[in-house]
Amino acid sequence: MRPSRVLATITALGIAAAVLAIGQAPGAGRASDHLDGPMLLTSPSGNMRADINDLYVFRAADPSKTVLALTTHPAAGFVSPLDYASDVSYVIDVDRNGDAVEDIAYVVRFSPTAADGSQSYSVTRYTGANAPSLAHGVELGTGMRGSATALKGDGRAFAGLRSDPFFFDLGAFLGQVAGVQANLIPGVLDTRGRTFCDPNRNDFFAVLNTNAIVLEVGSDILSDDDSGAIGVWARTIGPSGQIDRVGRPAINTVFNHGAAKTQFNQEAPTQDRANFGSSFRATLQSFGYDAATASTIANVLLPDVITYQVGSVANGEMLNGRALADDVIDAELGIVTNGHLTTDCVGRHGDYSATFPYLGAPHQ
Amino acid sequence: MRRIVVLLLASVVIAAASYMLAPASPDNANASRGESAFVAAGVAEPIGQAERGEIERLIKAFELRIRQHTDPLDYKFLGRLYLDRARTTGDIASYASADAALQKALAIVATDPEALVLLGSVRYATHDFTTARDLGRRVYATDGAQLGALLLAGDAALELGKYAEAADAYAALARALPGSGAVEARQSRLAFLRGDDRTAEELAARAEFDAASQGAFGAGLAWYAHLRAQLAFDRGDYVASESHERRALAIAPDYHVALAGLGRALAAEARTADALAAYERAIAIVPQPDYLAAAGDLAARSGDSTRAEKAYATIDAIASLASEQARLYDRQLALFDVDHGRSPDRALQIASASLTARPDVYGFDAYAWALYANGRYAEARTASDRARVLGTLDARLLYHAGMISVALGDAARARGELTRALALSPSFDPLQAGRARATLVALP
Repeated sequence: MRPSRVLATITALGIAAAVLAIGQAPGAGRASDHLDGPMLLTSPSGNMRADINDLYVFRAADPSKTVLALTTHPAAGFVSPLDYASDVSYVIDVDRNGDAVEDIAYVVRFSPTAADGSQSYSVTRYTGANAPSLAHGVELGTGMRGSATALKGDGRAFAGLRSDPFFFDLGAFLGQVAGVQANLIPGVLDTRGRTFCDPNRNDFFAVLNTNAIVLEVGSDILSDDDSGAIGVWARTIGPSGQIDRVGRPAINTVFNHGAAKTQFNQEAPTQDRANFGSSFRATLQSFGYDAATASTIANVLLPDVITYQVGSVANGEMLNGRALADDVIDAELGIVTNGHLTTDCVGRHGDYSATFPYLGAPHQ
Repeated sequence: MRRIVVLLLASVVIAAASYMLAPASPDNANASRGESAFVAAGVAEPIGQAERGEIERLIKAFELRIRQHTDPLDYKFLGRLYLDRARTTGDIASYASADAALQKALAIVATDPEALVLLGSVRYATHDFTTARDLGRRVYATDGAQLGALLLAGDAALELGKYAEAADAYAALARALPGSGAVEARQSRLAFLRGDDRTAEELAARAEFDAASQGAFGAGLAWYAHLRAQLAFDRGDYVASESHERRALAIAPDYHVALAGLGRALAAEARTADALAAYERAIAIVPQPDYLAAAGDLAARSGDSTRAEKAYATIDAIASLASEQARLYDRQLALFDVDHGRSPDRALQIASASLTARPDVYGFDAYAWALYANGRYAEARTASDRARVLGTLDARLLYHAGMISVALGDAARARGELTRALALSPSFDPLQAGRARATLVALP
């Protein structure tokens, strides 16, 4: 790939990322006697509390169990509030037979936030035909935000603030994108800003917090056949319907633009190939892949679910689950730049826990 | 999908389609309230306090980061943190820190739209409205997707008295972001200025609801409750005003703006001791001249002249220092001088400079009031008329107009203006409302 191709790819990435950018407005005092109102609150979903950050699927410390972890609320406590929405269902779906239809759905729901800031949650499981419809669930347990709770069937749950496990040199990413866009000269990086792997490399997320729903359940319930292969994705559903959806990291970010991003967030994985197959193939071909390879990769990426062999050690780079420490961004860079950029030169955080709830304690 | 968080600003793009969702229902609680043996003590804390702590933590963390490496993103984020600290706590020095951090970001990438809009926000907060407007307009002209830049330009235009320009900006924002609480709040403010207080209150109520649904929290959410408190106060509903301020304080307990607002509502309800206590809590956080003046007035009203004079002396000290504080609180100082018969010269000097920097209707009002104190009644009339050109339903504007009419010997007009002022908000000020009433009674 020529340098200009790499840059064009990064630019494409940047346009995608820009749509996901978030500006909040915690400010808003009156410095003196004028309006000084809050800045715009611009969650792409229209609801900061329903914004999904990441989904993780990996083997628990007890090897007979599997962890499903859903992070939401970017930069929780500063950009996003600390509490969950009481009118949003936070859903983790599991497909057991490869048809991209959920056979199990775990739904976490929250009470309104009390005056003292506390909030309770419940975890409900829906199985079989009830998983897509979210009808007739079985409540597995309840707890308070910020605390763990036991679930029926020897599982457990946590919902609340944690250290964000995600790592990425966002400054370099934005610097390269901005540089390309500002100069409008293909092949010339704006070296006033940041570039990947430069001496100023840093992990922007190293000091941020996120909200996390962490479920640890028996692996046997997730897989009903000998193959042990499952597909996992997560959704947030509000009063007006599905708000956000995530499977593998950054798929929507990279491949979809504008209205397509919203459509992707609001549909089901079963529709992914029909609705997005051709655009994914086209994007991949623009990244330098031939038609056949593009088609192969598109069929791996769609439907957008995290595929995982239950009981195995997760490896996100190999498309088998996603552990907290998996450097999925490096893998993603490799795919979209067709191997020209293979790392952002930052790595895993040091605060992951070997035990439940696995995500590090919140920075404080 | 991992939101590659730019974490900074609205100026960054939003697909309009993402706002297609209707606002959430406020009371849809479908969770069961569970009991758990795992409940950890101390996890829950009022969101406002948690927010304050998080800003300070992140400031420390990012101050460390900028020593470890040079990244415009870190400077921008730090600038945003300093700005938020200044806005929520009244710590004026933090604006200078924000300015410096953002200049560092711009030294690396001069055209960075986020850094430019954040810098404009700092300039707006420090009353350099012309620069704020220029920055907002420049960024928006370069990229029409930078809605935060448009918001900044509109807000600055409003303070510069360019009401049609502000209205256009807000209308464009409302089309791009239907249901955005931040935009509805601006439209509410504009409606109030234009004398449509009913629309203003409707928009403010919707703004608070939408902002809460969209994830506003802490002082950023309390601001909306305070906006509604102001509107309720201005139409004389002090009980509603108090209730809105109490809601703001439940969201953000140390929010000095709401503490002072609570004091104002309680004072209007003739609950002088409670009002004084609320003002003193606000003053302990940030000793703004308008807080001190109100506290002094309340102390005077309750016969504690020593306490009153102490508060007034503090204001005099602020005014005489020629500090950043004196500049930012210029209007409060000018009004204080006139209301308390301090120094007509100084009042006029301050009000005149303030009007130059910010020629909005309240700038003309303060200028009119200072001219009145100097016996320049004809000029005061002209300025007062300019202050009322939008038809703003604000008792203070009407009171000033009425007193100027008295001085000009136009008793009939004075009666109309003072009557309307007192009908609108019978206890609009601890001392001035009484003067308005006494003047009205004494009219021939």
